[in-house]
Amino acid sequence: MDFDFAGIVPHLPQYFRGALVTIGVSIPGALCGIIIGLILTMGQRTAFAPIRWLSSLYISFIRGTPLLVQIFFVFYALPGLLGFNLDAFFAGVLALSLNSGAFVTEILRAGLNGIPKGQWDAAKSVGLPPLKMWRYVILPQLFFKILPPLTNEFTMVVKATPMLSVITVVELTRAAQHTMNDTYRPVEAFLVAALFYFVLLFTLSRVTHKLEKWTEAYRI
Amino acid sequence: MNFDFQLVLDSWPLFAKGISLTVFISLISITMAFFIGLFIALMRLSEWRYLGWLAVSYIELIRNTPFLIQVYIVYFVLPVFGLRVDATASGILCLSVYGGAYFAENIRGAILAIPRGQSEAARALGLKYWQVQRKVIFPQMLGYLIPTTTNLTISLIKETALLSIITVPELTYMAQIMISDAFAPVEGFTVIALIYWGLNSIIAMMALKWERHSCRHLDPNSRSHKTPAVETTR
Amino acid sequence: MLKNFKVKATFRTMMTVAMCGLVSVTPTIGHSDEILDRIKSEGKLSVATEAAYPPFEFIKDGEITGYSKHILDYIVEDLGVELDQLDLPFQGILPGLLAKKYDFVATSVSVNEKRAKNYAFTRPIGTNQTVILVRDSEEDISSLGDLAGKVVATQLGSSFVPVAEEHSAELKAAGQDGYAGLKLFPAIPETFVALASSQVDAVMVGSVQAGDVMGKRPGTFKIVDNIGEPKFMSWAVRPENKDLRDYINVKIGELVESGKIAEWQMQWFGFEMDMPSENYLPEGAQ
Repeated sequence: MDFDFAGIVPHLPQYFRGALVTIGVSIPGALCGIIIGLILTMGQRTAFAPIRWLSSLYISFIRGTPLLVQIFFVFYALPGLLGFNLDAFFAGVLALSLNSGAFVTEILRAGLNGIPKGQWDAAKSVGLPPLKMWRYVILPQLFFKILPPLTNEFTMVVKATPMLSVITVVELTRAAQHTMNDTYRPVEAFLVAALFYFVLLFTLSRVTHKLEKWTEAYRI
Repeated sequence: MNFDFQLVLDSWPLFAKGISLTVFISLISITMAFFIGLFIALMRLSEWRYLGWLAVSYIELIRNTPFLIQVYIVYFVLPVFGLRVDATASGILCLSVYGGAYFAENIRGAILAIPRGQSEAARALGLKYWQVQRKVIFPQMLGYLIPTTTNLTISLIKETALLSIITVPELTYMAQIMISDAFAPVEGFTVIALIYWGLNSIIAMMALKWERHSCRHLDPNSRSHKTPAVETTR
Repeated sequence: MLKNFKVKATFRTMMTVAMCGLVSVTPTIGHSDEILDRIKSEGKLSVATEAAYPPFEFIKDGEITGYSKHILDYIVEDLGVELDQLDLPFQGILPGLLAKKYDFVATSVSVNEKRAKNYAFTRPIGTNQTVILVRDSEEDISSLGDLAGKVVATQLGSSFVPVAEEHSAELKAAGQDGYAGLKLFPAIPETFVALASSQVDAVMVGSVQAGDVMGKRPGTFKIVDNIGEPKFMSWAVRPENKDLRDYINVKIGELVESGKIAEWQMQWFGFEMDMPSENYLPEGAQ
């Protein structure tokens, strides 16, 4: 058994480019995921029952099916159904957002449940209009509650991005595949990718941890 | 847009094979992952510091790298050590090792969730050590373990889809074969999505029933909705 | 609680935001028969390539390159349009053409009867013989028949799959074991890596790819046998876009005439290929 990392070195620029793409799909994916999560959370709390059911059905479906299948579906099946083109990058961001949104609802639910009922009552009783109530009372509290879990959710999105390699988004994993096909050093090629991911994900998990500590002070 | 039901019916034997392998891989890997997790959790809680560090390194290493990367490494590294194993076997190995790290944190959480006072009180009442474990500690751990284990089980079933990339002929691989034969991505991916969803929904429902049954004596405030969210995977 | 919130209006705004942020909307390609006119008027040609089929088409330093890239560049230059070349997995590349995700498939597709019914193929850009590739150190496999009980790999959705399935069935019919397994990978280079690392015993692949990989890694692999007749490799367009197909055919013809194709074949393959201008499509072809 022999390992040889020297052959991987000339490919390092590809890894760095890949890492940038990994971050480049994760950020819009997670941000749109938050928006989708907000929409779904509102959907789950509207008075109109069918909207509530649809939201819950969506969440259950997304959480009950593999992301890989969702990515395949968005990339291969959706364009035929919708009638317009999605390139691999956008299909990837879309799949990540649709997926992440369903998990964000859980974070928002927990966050909203954590705000004492008295806060809503108090805001209403001093006559704050809904928008001001959200702006000055609910959102600031919600923000500190959900910041750490949302950072964690971002970590999960980053961790899910390797699956986009199957639809040829040239992110970190795809870069490792190219390197493997070039060097015939699959183990080394993926170990190097693993190192990149570890640095990225470990840092993010430390950040989440720090945020948890920091926001604790602001919690009620 | 027309959905070709006939095609789905015709391809059913292919899907059926895929389902049975997916279920088989999940059953074995999740069982193995549970025991690996138990072992690692005990290591982490052990008084011998180095053992604890070893457990933490394992957990952090697995949890901070993507599953697909681990799959590739294991699949290609085994032959380097002269081990010629089938893709399915290396998939099972991978999923067990991966699931083990998550189960470890789960089980450790369950153990730590029970206050020390519980066992002290039970001992003071004259119960023997094993009686304390069986009648006092374990039932309370279930309230924590059932929901988190369900989440993990569902996550790991979903992860099996990734094994298609190293040619394990599970459900997603079978769907890809059917799709490349018949050019029917909508049918193929919709059907397997529904199958995964159905499978996971059944598991979630059964787990909920089990939880309600085995935790009916517990204070509802200490039950699942107070369980900290487990870090699951996609 | 959230009920008090102006759900409707916000919902709408958020949907709009989400849609704008997420979806790259390109207008649906029209149903006109004259696709060539549309390409010229829009000034943009969109093609799909599976850039994992060296030396026909592959990625080098992040760019799509290879033999067929020369032909594509010649066509793009003649059209005077901008090229948008997508690198896509092979398994979705032909269905994606019918789904109008791009104008044509500029990747080497081997023509068989089933495909020829569904797609309009250009005149061949090359030929390829299906061969059995094994590790150089392999002693058990020296001919087709030795594949009985062995693990064979090829590409998912490729034309090699039916060939392999048929061969395994033939072996069984002759009273021998079939293949111990047929492993289908997303792309050809992965099958080579799996072969080199002993995950599989043999790879069924085109002679050109086999030759290429043997040239790049001497002493790693060897070809032990051929299977079936040589196959023509062509590009594919949608059946209703025959004007585009005819145009590409003319361009390939020019390249054959000028000797350019032969030059590129020497450069990438080291030999010249048969480039028929007629009778290359199976019966009932588009």
